Amino acid sequence: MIATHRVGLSVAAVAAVAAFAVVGIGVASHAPAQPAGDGERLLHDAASANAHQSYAGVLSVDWVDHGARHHVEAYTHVVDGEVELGAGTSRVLSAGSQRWVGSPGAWALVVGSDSTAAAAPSADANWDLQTEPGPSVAGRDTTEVVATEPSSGAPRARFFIDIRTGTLLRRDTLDGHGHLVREVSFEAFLALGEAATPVRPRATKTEEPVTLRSVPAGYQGPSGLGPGYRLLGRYRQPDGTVQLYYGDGIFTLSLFEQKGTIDWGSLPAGTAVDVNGNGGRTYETATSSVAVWDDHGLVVTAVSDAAPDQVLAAVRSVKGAGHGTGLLHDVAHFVLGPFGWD
Amino acid sequence: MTPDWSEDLLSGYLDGELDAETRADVEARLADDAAWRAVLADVSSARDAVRSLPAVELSPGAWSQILAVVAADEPASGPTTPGALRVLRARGSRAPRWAGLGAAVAAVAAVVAVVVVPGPTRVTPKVATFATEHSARASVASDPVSSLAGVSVMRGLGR
Repeated sequence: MIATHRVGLSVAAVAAVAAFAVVGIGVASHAPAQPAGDGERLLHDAASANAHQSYAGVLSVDWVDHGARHHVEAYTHVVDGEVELGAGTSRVLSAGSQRWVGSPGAWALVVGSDSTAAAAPSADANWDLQTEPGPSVAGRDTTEVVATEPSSGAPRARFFIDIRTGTLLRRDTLDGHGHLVREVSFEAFLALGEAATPVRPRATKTEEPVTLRSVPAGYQGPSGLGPGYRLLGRYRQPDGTVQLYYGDGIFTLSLFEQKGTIDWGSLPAGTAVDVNGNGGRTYETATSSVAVWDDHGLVVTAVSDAAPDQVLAAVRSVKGAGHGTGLLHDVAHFVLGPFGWD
Repeated sequence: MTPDWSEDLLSGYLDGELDAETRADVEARLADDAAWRAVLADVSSARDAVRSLPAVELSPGAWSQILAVVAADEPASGPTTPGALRVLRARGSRAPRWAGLGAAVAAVAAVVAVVVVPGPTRVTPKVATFATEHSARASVASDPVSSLAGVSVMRGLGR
């Protein structure tokens, strides 16, 4: 675990979490024990392991940004697959394919159903997976699945899966030197028996994006990024931002594209980077690595759960990204195109 | 008899100004000659570009800029009427119309782009919002707890 100063909940808060859940404590319903040996299957099953479980827990979220280490804690409350996460007054809800953010009584639906989204590649399509007995996490025995980059042999992600329930208890993201970039881990896990009714949010507003059949003119939307990312979905956010969503089986990446140029003065300093000749900055957040850059009339923001060096490698793989796009290009093409001058 | 190659002939063809015999000759030549077809496509593109220009109410000052740009493109010995207007008005002229028309379109559109089309919008990427959107999307096909834990603690960066 990354050594940090601590903010937010303490481990003892699990008692409060249980009180919040207003449930009787008992033996959790759980999936059959998972033997080690099949990393792809363990990861696949972990994605849906919550579906038949009820528990409360405290999670630590640690990440490194600009050399500074950060630590926060959040609680979770899961009732038969419906998940509530919170810190302070902020809440996130997961119910089926819907995702809500906000606070009690002030929810916003940010992801609804999308029947057009393509399936991500399987975890072992682009990654070498090894399994081995893992450490105890929140007092529970785990199987560790390590995802290694085939080209470099560098481990890039570690998953610690509860042997008893198949639940993902800890996830580490590593950079190319093996240094921890981000870690999400249960500090306390409290199985619940007869559970209370989960929170049923009512949409007070919707920020659900619209699914697009194709990438609109003037935006860039490569079908793949880097060696393994495949385009899985295209969306338009309520403010007009176009989102291209990619996955490689282990990590996911979104490109958010807006017409215009970046108001750099409104952003934190971050880390200066170059993206195919365009100046940009990178940031680390509690959830993701972020890269922002100007690209010939497009403002592009890449967001990924991968390490920042992987994000940059992926976006730099798009040769000529953005060249020939954007408003100015549209005007130039309109003016000069008919005469063969552009 | 096949008429002599002429951009103006193709312009007249598109304008429906040719007599039936000449029109038939042009069509026969177009069927056989890829170069003629390419020139016809260029002429047609220029006409479409003119027709697709947005109807914009320009200020007197903007018109002055347009006329100044066009006049600056005229030969020193040319007529005093600005070139673009001369081309657009001289319906009976047999000067190389499509080339002149193209130049006029380019000049007008370039000025319209400068005068009418606003400059690039200054954008502040809402990094926290995008990070939330991405994590929420990613959590649909993966473990939602680990995917969303960080979302609940996101602060700052423009949500």
